[in-house]
Amino acid sequence: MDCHEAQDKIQAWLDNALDANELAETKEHLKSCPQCRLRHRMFLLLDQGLRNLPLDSPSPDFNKIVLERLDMAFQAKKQPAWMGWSLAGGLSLLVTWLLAIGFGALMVVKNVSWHQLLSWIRHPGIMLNNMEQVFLALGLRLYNIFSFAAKVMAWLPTSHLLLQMLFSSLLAMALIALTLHFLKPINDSGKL
Amino acid sequence: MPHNPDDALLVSLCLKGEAWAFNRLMDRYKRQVFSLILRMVKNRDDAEDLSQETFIKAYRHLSAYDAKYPFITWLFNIAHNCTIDFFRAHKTELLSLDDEDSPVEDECADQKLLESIDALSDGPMIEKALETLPPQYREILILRHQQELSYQEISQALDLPEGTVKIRLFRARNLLKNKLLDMGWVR
Repeated sequence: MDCHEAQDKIQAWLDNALDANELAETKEHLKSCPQCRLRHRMFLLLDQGLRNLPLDSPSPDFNKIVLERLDMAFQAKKQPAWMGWSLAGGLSLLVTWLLAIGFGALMVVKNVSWHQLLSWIRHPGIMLNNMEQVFLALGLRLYNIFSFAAKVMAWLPTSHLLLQMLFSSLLAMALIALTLHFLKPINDSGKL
Repeated sequence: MPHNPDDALLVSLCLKGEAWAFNRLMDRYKRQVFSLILRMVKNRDDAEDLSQETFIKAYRHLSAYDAKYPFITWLFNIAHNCTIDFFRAHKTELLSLDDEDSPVEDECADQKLLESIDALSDGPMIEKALETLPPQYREILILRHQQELSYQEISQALDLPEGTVKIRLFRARNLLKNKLLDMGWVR
């Protein structure tokens, strides 16, 4: 191997691009050629110097700026058509449930018939007035139940607040279940 | 360069519109992309703009990414094209193929100076010498030595045949070595 050939081999060695034979030949040449040994050492140092160059950082807002510039693309991809339909469906279900609960409460608590309920639809004032009575009455009953449960729990021989809250919640739930079981329609004056 | 196996997963999440996944990819590679571009254009503001452009283009063409290859190689390819467009718009002189045919004299210091070679531990000297090289030589040296890309990966990143990569790399190294010698690398 002459020096001219060795020049290329030294660089290829640096890039791990020599096979075993080429590597052995290059090493052999280097042993007998101080000029190529110097060249090899220079390239090794050069490689080390370039490898140690620091990586620069862009501005701290880099990601934010890129994402802002891409915002439109993300919006379009984030909201596929099915999401809009799901949202509309969910809202419709919620409204249906609220109406069902409202009408159901009127029918159960005030003992209103279907016929009467349909006739009230034409007179929303009467309907709202009746609903208000029902919800106030139910709210009052719930308040009474919870306040009774709280008083009972205050008598408990424990000072642990979490335990007291747990017991009072269980008692309140039991009382609500009992109340619902024996629920009586309210009279016309709005009293339970 | 090691291939990060979850890059492909992050890319598929990006394609489903997950902004956090793209954020993660940016966190992972923005410094490499920015450093390469900065060394090419030598101006922080331009490097910042071009790096942003690189990630925006990457996002818009994510579906074209082939997960068989490292994501960073694909990003470097976009960064390279953005930078070349920038140079053309600013009429910066680039290397022509004719330039690459002419040999670079391999200057070599005298043997007796062998012991005097200083390790290039001080960055500024090599940075300074690097800055004097044409942009494409700076680019290939950074890709090979700092980013540790193989010939094959460099050829993908720069859209060049592997043979050309090898020749350009050898010339770039010789030029850099000669510059360092001119700058007094050998005491």
